[in-house]
Amino acid sequence: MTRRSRNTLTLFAVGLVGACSADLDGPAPTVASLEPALVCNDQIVTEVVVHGQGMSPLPVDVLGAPRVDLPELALTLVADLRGAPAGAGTPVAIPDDTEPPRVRWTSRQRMAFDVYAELGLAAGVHSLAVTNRNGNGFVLDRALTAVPPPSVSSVGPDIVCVAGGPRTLVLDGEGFLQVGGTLPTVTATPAGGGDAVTFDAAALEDCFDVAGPASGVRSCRRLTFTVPDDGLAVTGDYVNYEIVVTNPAPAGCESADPVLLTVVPPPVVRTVEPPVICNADHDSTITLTGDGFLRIDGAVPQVTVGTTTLAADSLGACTPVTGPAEAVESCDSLTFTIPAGTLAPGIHEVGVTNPVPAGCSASATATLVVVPPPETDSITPDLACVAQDGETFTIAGSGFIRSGSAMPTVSVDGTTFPAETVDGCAPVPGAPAGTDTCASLAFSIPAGGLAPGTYEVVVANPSPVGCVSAGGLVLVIVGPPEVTAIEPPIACLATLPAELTLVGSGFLVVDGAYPTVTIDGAPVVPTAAGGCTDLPAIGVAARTCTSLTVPFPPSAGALGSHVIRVVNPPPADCAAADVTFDVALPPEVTGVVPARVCSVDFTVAVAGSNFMPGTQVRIGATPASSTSYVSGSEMRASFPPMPAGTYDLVVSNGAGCEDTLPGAVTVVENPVVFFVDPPVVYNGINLQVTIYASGVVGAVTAVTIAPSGGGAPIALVFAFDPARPNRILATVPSGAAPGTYDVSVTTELGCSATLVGGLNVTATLTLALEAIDPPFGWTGGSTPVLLTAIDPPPGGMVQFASTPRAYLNPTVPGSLAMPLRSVTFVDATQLNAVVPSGMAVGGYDVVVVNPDGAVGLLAGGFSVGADRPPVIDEVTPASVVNTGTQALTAIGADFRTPAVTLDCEDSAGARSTVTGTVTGSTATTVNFTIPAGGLAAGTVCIVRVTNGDGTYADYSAVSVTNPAANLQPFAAGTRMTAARRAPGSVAGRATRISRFVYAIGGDAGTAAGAFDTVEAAAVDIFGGMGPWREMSYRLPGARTLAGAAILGRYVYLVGGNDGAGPTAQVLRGRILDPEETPEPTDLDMRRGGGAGLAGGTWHYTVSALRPATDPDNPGGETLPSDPLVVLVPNVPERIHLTVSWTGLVGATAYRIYRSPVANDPAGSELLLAEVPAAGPLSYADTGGAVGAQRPLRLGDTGRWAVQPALTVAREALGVAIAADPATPGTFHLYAVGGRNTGGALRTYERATITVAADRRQTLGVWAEDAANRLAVGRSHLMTFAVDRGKASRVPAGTTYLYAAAGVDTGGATVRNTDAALVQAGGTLGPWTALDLMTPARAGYGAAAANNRLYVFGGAGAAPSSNTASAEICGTGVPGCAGGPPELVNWNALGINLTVDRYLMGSAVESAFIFLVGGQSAGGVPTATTEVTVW
Amino acid sequence: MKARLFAVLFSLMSAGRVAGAQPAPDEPADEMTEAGTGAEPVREADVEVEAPPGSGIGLALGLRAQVGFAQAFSDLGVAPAVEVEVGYRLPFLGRRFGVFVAAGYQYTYASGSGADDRLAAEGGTPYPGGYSWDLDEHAMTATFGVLGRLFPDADVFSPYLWVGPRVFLLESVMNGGAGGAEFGENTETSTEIGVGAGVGIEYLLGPGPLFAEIEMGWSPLPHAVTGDSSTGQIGLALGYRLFL
Repeated sequence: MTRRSRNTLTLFAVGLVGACSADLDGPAPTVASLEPALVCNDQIVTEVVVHGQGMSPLPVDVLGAPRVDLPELALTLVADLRGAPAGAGTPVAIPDDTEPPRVRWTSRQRMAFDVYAELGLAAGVHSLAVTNRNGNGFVLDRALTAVPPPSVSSVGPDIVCVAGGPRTLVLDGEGFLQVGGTLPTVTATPAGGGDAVTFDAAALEDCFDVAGPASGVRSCRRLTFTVPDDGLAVTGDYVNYEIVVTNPAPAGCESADPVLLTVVPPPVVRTVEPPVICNADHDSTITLTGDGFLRIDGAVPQVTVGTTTLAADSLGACTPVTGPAEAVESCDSLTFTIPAGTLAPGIHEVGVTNPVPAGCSASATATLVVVPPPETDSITPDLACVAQDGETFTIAGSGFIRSGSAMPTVSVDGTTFPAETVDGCAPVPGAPAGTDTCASLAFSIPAGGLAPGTYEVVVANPSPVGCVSAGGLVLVIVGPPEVTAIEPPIACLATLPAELTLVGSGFLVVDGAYPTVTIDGAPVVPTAAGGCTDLPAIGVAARTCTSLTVPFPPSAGALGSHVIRVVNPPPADCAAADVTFDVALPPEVTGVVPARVCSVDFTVAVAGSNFMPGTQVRIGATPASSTSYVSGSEMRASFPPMPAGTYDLVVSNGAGCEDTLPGAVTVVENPVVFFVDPPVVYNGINLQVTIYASGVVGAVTAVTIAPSGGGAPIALVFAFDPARPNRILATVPSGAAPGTYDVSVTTELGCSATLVGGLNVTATLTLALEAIDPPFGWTGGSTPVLLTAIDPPPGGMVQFASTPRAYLNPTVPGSLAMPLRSVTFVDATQLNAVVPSGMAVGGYDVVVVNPDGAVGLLAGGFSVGADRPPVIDEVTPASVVNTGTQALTAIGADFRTPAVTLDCEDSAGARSTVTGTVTGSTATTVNFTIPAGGLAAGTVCIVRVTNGDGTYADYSAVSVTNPAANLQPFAAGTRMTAARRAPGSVAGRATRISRFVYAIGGDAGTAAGAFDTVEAAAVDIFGGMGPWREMSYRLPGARTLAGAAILGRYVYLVGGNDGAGPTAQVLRGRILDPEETPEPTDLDMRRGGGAGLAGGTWHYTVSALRPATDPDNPGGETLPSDPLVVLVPNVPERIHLTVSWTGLVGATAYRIYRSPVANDPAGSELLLAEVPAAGPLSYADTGGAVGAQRPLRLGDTGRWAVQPALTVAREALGVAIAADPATPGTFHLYAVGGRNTGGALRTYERATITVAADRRQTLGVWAEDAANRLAVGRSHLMTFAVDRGKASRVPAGTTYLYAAAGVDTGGATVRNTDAALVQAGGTLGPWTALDLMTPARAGYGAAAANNRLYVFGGAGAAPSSNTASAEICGTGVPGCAGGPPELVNWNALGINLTVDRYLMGSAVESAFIFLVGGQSAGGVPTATTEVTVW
Repeated sequence: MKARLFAVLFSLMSAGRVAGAQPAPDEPADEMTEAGTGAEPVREADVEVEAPPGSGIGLALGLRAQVGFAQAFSDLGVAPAVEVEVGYRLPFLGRRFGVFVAAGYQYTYASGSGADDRLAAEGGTPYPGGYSWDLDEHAMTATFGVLGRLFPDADVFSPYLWVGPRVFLLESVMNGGAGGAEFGENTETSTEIGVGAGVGIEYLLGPGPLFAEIEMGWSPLPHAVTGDSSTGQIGLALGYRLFL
């Protein structure tokens, strides 16, 4: 069977078995080896031959496009070069479709492929996979090793000098191969071009065996090769060679990035400068010039001088050598220093060696000559006077160098004198011509060229040789003698001395010879010298003395001055200046100017007679530091600072010739400036500041401020009161540059003091000042204002900081800004302040300055008018219905061409503005109408009357009701501090805008538990109640079931029960007026000497105590003044403050309150002291502690005063006040009904209230109208005084008194309501019975308004919440037969109280009705309150 | 799988013997039914019927030789083939129709040459003569055909026509070489489904007819070595069938 037939049968069989399948089979390859087995994977193309079997190409697609598919070759990395497994590598197929072909088939036993860069073959050991196209394959593991090209990272050294011997260099890098015994080669090529030089590597280091089939292969990281002597050519300063390493075949790649090797020539020395030196006593600096002096990374060449090696100090004329990694310069000059004493005298050779690694040396071709230092033997002369001119000295010795024209110098204690001549000279061996060494020299010292003293003389040779002779040569220079004093200084003609002692210095005694002395030209022989000291040992024996005694010759005894001369002996024979000696008559002193001086250096002029130039002056025991003779009648004498005090002045012409002026001179202390208030000022205004100082004596003559740290001073206009010498008022002008200033004060005595940095001028408008309210005041009175800041402040702005200063700056340029008084920091958004009265009429800018210098400005924000702003006392009616147009009248004062607006707020809080139409006005009334139709019931409106000049007044409040005059629902108010049954209650005002509701007395449930306390709550303009607080003053005794009424500030408490039973007592309390207070007017500040107030803000208030006889406030206290805010400086001495105030007429004492500690807020003041009114109205605060008592507060009453008593005791009575219809200013207080121990009363009684022009009230005696009785006696009733203000149907000037329901003696309710007309003089017309109240009530609250009587709670004489009203009749009112006082329609109001009440207090304030306390459900007293609008 | 394929092949080869056996008891035999009588069918064994001349039991054993011309479809050359068949002449219409299975062998070839620089002597110089190749294409075929005669099988002459699917068991044998070096022989096999058809004329000679036929066979030839080609050829066949 042939092979083909076998195939056919096989085919048939297999084909059937494997139907529809296909298979390709054929030869299977095997690989035995690759050649070479080591290649470089980059740069070069290496043919690798594959030896094996069965590598079979396959013709394919022969029936289409025939081609041959070669066996596939693929390399796979299996290990790195060190043999570590490489993990699963990605095979690299050798492409066989490239041109030229990278895979070639020769036979089934041989194929070949190329390894080339683009193949991307990784370095490492690879396996080879050969796969025939029939699918048969073979893998030869570890078949081929691929290595990368070598890389050179550095050559070391990278700069060399190859002259003088071979240089071994080291290349560091990677992949330096050793293949068998073959090492890489190194090629050096000049970087700029030129012939390459190749060196064989000498050795490899840091190697490892390369893994793979090739044996004997190592890869190394260090290669060493040697450059032979002059093996690399160099021209110029240096040549850079590019160094490349080439590995041996078959991996013969070369390093890609050549490193540079810099080759330099050896240095060359050409000259040495200086050529001659002396090295004995100083370092010698030598400069070499030449070529190729290298500095390598700061290392400099070494210089060899003779056998001494020295490092160069510096190099010059350098050019950089580029190429090496080091910083290399090649220089043409070199300077080095030879330390003193290094070289012996002689001739030395000089050489240079460059620093390693370029350490070639220069040949020693230059020399240096070293000479010894000069030596001195003597100087002639060795003693001289400094005043002698042109003295020539000669020094003998050796080694004095003359170099050309340069000569040695002589140094006398640092002063140098040039040698003028030298002698005994000879040339220096080895030195350039003109350099000689000499044996002597001469020099001279000009007059005054040296100060007296003993000097060491040395000789210095000229530079650059230098060197100085050794010491030991001494020259003594003395000054001329000096006579500083004569003892005695002056002689009295009558007592001439026997001898004179000349005191001074420099009196020489030379070899025993004294100076020569003459008096008036006649010689006198000294007899002794004193205070002598020996001069240093020199050629003569010399001493210098400080005194010289000579006999006083008779010829010098004449009156007048005598000349004395002193001349020293030679060789220092200088003369002293002439002095005089006076012979005088006894002096007389008659005066001294100034007689008062400051405790500083000062000079006085002394007047008198017989003064001589030698006349002596002293003050006390202190002699004049200097005197100046002016004439025989005048001397001037200067003194050092002296302690304060009074001293005698003494003038002396010698012993026995003195005269004294007792107490002639007074020395005063220098003043001290310690504070400027305010310390921060705004430079946009002229502002007066207060400068506080101490020790000011006499008048202040100048006040200046000067920029701290330097700058021209600014003289300030100031005012000084000698009576207040510690305070100076100075005006800081506007426009001063911002910054810190020193403040100086000068007195007429010339004393001056400066407070450094005492004043800060600012211009920073960063305070977010928003408004001032009101924005006006008037010149005739003070105006409280509220300053507000924008909240939140805009970016970059700030709000108030405690505590700012506020000013009004007139808009007229040049005017002085006025500070606001009582500036009180409420919070960051509010300041209270007071605009003082007396301000000039006009417009003002408002300026607020924070302590930190931030300034707020309201340009033209305030105006002061000549006329008083308007005031509104009342608006009638106080309530209007919300239909049509309603007419109202504002009653007040100072209305001038008024306009009216209403600011309204409804019960939901919505605000609206209503413009009124003025229908007529006078100075005291404004009639106007408003369109009320659009206002909701329950709306409360603030009425503003604005005068033509822009000033205005606000009034709170007018309410709006519906046509039925229904009240708005009650709203709960704040709780009282105590539950009170049957309190008296009124509403009153401390100021026009400060309203309060009061609860007076009452009890805890029964009359026996009656209270003597009073409490009150503030009420805002919309009726909102603030918290209750107990008043400072209590009632004189407990009181409940009393009747209360108010007229103006006076609160009347009538009758009631004092806990023991009904009483007839009447009490009166006056709501204190904040304007009736002392007024702090002045402030004085002194240093405390260590105790006193600490630095910071302090608040002071002052109140007055009234006498016990005061009808309004017997023995009580007034409200405190506005707070006085004081910024106290922080000084170590602390501060004493004296507060002064204006008093109140009749005050018995004053109380001073102060904040407890610095920077406590306003309102924290506590009692500091009480001073009698009889003494000074001032108090000096030395920093003592405050007590616990607080001042009274706004809303407080004074002490309650006992008033005329009722004619009969009454409790649970009705009380009302009505105006006398005939007499203006006269009112009547009525007590109606009530009960006493006898039961319910039917009578009423009245007392007249007389209102004086100052609004003070006087209550007359009570009178009972026994004939005019109520129809039914009753208690727990309410009495209404109804006039036109409460009921428009009541005729003007008419008042009706209504006595409403109550309970009778048996406790049964009485529904009767009676009315009576108030007649002139106060008596009532007959009581008229009106409609019975429905339902019956007692102990109820009440109010009259809107032509109605309102009653609240108390139904059935028990706690209840229902309410009712009756209408006062008028024309057209249904059910009415006539007019007032008729009532009609007692109907329920349709609103309820918030709690059941009985025996409550009720009060009316403008449009608001307040109910306070009472007995609530269960008979329990309640502290609750409630309010509604009528 | 292979065992099952052999079983199929065996059954094809022994079809004549199976066809000549008695039908199995449960196998329907030729039945004669009298229409409308409702009588029991009468079995052939029970009725003596005179068979037409030459018809026998209907089996046919055939042998043919053929010369094909593959050039009509590809670059393959002349394709000689032989084939044996076993058929059954259906016993109606004078046995004009029959079915058969046939097994055959077919051979053809191709050769050529080309240039390739990758085929190079040592040193990388390409072989100057390029390379040459030789392809031998073998095919074993199995055909299931349906044959129809124009005349009853007892006629002396009867034109006929057949057609049927054919299974090609293909083997490509590739040899080549360059520069005197042999590539080595590679063989690629596959099984392909094709068709066969023929038209011929039978001349009754002895127990069966001698026939001459124009035959066409085709299947794809998707071998790597050949490229996408076919086995298609048109051939002239001469053979003899023995009617039993």
